[in-house]
Amino acid sequence: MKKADIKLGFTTMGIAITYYLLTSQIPEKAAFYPKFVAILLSILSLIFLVKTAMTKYEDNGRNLFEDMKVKQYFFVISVSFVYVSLINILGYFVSTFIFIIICLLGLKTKKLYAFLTTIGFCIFVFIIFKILLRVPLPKGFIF
Amino acid sequence: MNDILYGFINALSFTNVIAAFLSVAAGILVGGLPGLSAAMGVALLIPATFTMPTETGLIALAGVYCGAIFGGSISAILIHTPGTPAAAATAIDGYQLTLKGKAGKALGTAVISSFGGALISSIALYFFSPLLAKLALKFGPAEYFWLSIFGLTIIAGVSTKSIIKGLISGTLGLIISTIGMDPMLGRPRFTMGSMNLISGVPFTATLIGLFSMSQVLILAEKAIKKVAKANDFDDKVILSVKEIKLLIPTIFRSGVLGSIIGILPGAGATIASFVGYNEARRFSKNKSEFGKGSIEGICGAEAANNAVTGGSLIPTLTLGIPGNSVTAVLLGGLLIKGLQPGPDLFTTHGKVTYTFFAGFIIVNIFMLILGLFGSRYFAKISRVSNNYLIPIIFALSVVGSYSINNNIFDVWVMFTFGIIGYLFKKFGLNPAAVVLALILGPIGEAGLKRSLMMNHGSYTALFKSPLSFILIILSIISIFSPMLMNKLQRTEERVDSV
Repeated sequence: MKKADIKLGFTTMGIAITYYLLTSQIPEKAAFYPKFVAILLSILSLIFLVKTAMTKYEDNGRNLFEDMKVKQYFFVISVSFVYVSLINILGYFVSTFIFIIICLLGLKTKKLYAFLTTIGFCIFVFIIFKILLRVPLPKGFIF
Repeated sequence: MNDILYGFINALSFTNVIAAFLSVAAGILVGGLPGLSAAMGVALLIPATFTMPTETGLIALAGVYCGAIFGGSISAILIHTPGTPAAAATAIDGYQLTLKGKAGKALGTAVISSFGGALISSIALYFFSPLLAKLALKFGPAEYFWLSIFGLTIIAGVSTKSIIKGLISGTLGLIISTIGMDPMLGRPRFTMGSMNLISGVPFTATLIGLFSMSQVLILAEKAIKKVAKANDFDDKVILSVKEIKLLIPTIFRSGVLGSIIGILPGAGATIASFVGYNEARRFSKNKSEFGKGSIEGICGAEAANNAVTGGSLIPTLTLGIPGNSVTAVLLGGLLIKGLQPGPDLFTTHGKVTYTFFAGFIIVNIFMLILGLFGSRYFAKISRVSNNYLIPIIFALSVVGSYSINNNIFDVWVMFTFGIIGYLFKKFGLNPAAVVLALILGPIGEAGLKRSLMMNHGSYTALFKSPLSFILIILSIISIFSPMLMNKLQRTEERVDSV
């Protein structure tokens, strides 16, 4: 945890410095407040780093991501990414259908349950968002 | 008075009643599923409230909030896994009763106590809100600057173990809030040339990303286990008159305590439930029953945590400073509807506000009905495994973030903030602080600049009025209050384990 906190402190310090440098691109009057926020974040990051360095952590050496199911996590995140990329091409319903069924099967759901859940969800969204709330959803070349 | 009466009549309209019913049911489902939070439910619902009349949308948001806080107790009682952290104290005695085959009685106690607690807090809501809102009339630019600082220091301490991490979260939120048009000069800042960012980072998409998609990622990184089977139960959910009589003093005590804790910024439902539980034991004639299945124990915790719902709405609606993550999200919903917290809510928008208040009571009546007659069925929900929740919540996050501006850009914003929210949770930062910073950032910036402009650039203007001083002192106190709260909670928990 200590390592994670040190990384966090340096990251936020990095954000503060980058953000401060970016303020040079905007007019002086509009940059006044962002500069104030950047200085505030750098001070807080510094205090945090000093505090972390001085604190003794009981669970030292524990990795924040050690229990992570890496394959499963990246499967979900990449399928989600492809799903969002395809929405404007395939339309909301077709891409959602494909996304949910792939995601469910990838997460080892029984085929029949996966199919029924996907159909059920698409009908639910159609009724609630399309019919009741009349929200326009992205249309693709199919539906 | 007219507005109050109008509110009651309007809240009873068909649309509002249906919205209250459905949203409470949805809230109980969200709360009953361990791993899903009330804030997530409210964030997902905000886009759906867009096409609804303002008051209906607000009632629906309150329905999810109240339903989720109660729903957390179902899995706490049946599978010893609190659906929300606020139900942790309920699990102590609730699960003991389940083991004795009296889960029905435990659920009945939880629902009646939740209803009683929420009802008491609604009285506080009617009584204190207009009074506190009048205070906001006295605010000038300098006071608004300090108010935004005060709000941020409060939220920094809430649900974050480290105050400094909370403050860092808030400051990161302030950075995000500066993207878009400068509030005074009208010049674009940090938009990277994108027209989509001219009016700032899309707020609702950010909310959904921070609270819903981040939860998808949290679920996705864990091994998918079959969720523990909820215990079936045959005994009655409806309590006897004798039992209800026994609970009334506890409901009243915990209801008042919960309402006060709800108003206090920085405390919240979890602390309230432990305080309520311990006070119930202190006053009980059957102290030895506590920890072994005491209905007074369940009542003490549940009446208190549901009383927080009404109490926490008071500072949110009057000063625009929510004390917890759910009300921070709810405040976002309010602002999207074009309503500014403060005195206007009780004068210009009095009809909407009082319809919302009356709706809050109706929501709780539905919570009582659904809890008494539907707990058996809601209990089955806790068997839904995470492999179903992951794609469904994500697909709902997509439809929710798209539907606000009908723009796929918002979906990408949601996606980005989902990853940011996930990292926030992993590193112990507080996403609620970001939400509040997005709301308070522009208010604070405008307050600061106006105050300096009116006083020819002199900073002394910020320290002139007594109200500014009070807000500065409150900000300092609120930085240190989490330490006090942590100490209080630890003491309460230690007492529990004895």
